[in-house]
Amino acid sequence: MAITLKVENRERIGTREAKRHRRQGLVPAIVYGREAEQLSITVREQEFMDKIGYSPSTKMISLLDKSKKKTQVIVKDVQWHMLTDRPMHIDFLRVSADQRITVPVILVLEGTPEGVTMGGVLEQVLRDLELEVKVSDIPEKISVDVTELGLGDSLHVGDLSLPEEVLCHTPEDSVVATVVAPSVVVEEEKEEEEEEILEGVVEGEEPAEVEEGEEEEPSEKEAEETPEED
Amino acid sequence: MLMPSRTKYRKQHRGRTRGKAKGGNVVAFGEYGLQAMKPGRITSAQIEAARIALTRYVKRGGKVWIRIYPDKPITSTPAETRMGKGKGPVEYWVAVVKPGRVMFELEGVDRDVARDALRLAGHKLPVPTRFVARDRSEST
Repeated sequence: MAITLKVENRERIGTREAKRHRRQGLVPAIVYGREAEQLSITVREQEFMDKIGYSPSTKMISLLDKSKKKTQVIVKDVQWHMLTDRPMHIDFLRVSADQRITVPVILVLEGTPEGVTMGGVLEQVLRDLELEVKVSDIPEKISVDVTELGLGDSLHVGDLSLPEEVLCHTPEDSVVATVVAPSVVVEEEKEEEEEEILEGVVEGEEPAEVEEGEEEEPSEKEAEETPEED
Repeated sequence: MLMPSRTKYRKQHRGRTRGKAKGGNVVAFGEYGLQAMKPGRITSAQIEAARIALTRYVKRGGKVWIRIYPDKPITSTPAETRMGKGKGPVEYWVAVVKPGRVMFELEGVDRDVARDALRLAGHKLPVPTRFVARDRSEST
């Protein structure tokens, strides 16, 4: 089902105007691509969050303006506020359904690898794939089965089984996921060593105090001597 | 504890912390992160305490990234010292943190474990923090 967003043209642009729009619950946005002029628009923040939100997958969207004119687009980029996670600005790219474009598609690892049951840690190195695909066929996600990964094993892009109509632009030798040995064990040893060192320091405090006392004595003498000088 | 092995100059000016974190404000390495909500200075001891709290809670599982580094020396004049005689010796090292900075990241553990581990780590830090996920699913 195609998503439709109601938009309004933005006549006044700039930082101050953008801030005014955001205060009114609108998100400033821009539409570009397909050799047409770029268009500054606003989208209702609530509508955008309800229909698209934080979804990382690329979908075809219809923008409906006041004159009921529809524009087919995809979300090219969203700027999020770092503390509130509200959308600050949206980039829409004009597309047609039969056009081939390159988009990032998220990789989802499924299953528990053998190496993890042996005590390893699954590390996902690659989060998305750059796929060239028809706009109407953009997959929501690429699922990867990692159950056969043992300790020290890696899964590469070349090992993935992708749909035939899809062309992958990510290098085949890129690592998708790897199961590594946990590094926490070494850190625990380190902590023990640190504790031992600390104990050593506590034991060796007595001579240190004596030294401090020795140092203090001359200073006291100096203090006594000072009035004499005066 | 973390500190630079060699610096060009021994002492620095105090400086002022203004604005929000321009970089390092998204989860970039792991799946979950701990984000600073206010500006502050994190000492190397606090970073170490938070790291130990994190690794102890996740035990053998998970991978931890520390995304701040204490590269600013803080000096202090020793107790019972008369005024003058120049700037005191370097006492400790801090990482200057601005709001939005993702300070720790975690991967390879369940969301609930990550949330609890990062909450414990956050208690060791002098700034208010929040739990963030790569997919922003924790946002309200």
